[in-house]
Amino acid sequence: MTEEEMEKIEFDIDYHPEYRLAQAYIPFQIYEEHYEPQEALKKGTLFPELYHPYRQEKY
Amino acid sequence: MWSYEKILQYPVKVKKNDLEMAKYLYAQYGGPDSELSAGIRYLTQRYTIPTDEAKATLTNIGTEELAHWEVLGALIYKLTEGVPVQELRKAGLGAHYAEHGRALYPHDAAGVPWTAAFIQSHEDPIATLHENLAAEEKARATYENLINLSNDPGIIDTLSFLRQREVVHFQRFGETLDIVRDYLKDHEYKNGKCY
Repeated sequence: MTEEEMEKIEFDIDYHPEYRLAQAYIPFQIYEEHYEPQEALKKGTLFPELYHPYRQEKY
Repeated sequence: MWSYEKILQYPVKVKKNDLEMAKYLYAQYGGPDSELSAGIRYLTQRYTIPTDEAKATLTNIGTEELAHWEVLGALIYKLTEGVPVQELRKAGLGAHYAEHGRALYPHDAAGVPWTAAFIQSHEDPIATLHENLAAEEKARATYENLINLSNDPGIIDTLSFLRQREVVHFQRFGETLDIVRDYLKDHEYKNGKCY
């Protein structure tokens, strides 16, 4: 199938135009807030939005 | 070139000897998804990965993983320090003692020696970065299991810090994937590879 033919196909599903199937995407972090250095060391990251602590005890 | 600082990246405080926990912690000292595997993996991949950002990311994270490996070593050492042989034997560390005494050795929680077969380094940067994203998640999951196995607040605190670092590394490798993908789009490879 040529690229032209590919483009003619209309999908029923509304894929996000920026994303291709079979590719992994992790959104870019935008620098906003940050912890104080002492707090950052305690938590393991400078960035509140990246702080994902483990809370759930597995059985 | 590396410079060494004689200070742990994060403090290691343990309540008392805990031989079983020391044995489990070997998972992250010399296991497949260990800090040693991570450090060797990233520092080996640096040479062929395209873009300066990707090289720097692999260098920085690889270096940090070696610092984590040192934290794990300190944990295991403190948990086994000065323990009588018979105690080691009771806790299932008799085989380790037979071969190493109380010295540390890079093997996994079951005593399987560390091997480079645990890691991959591939010229294809997309394949390599997915290897690394997977490695970070496996290390995170391992830390959660180790946290579940421990009842020492000091150990849990140190392990929680190390676990959070894996989360941050995952994000950085994800951003690197995007940067490298953009680079590949703009540079046609001689071999006609299509990314």
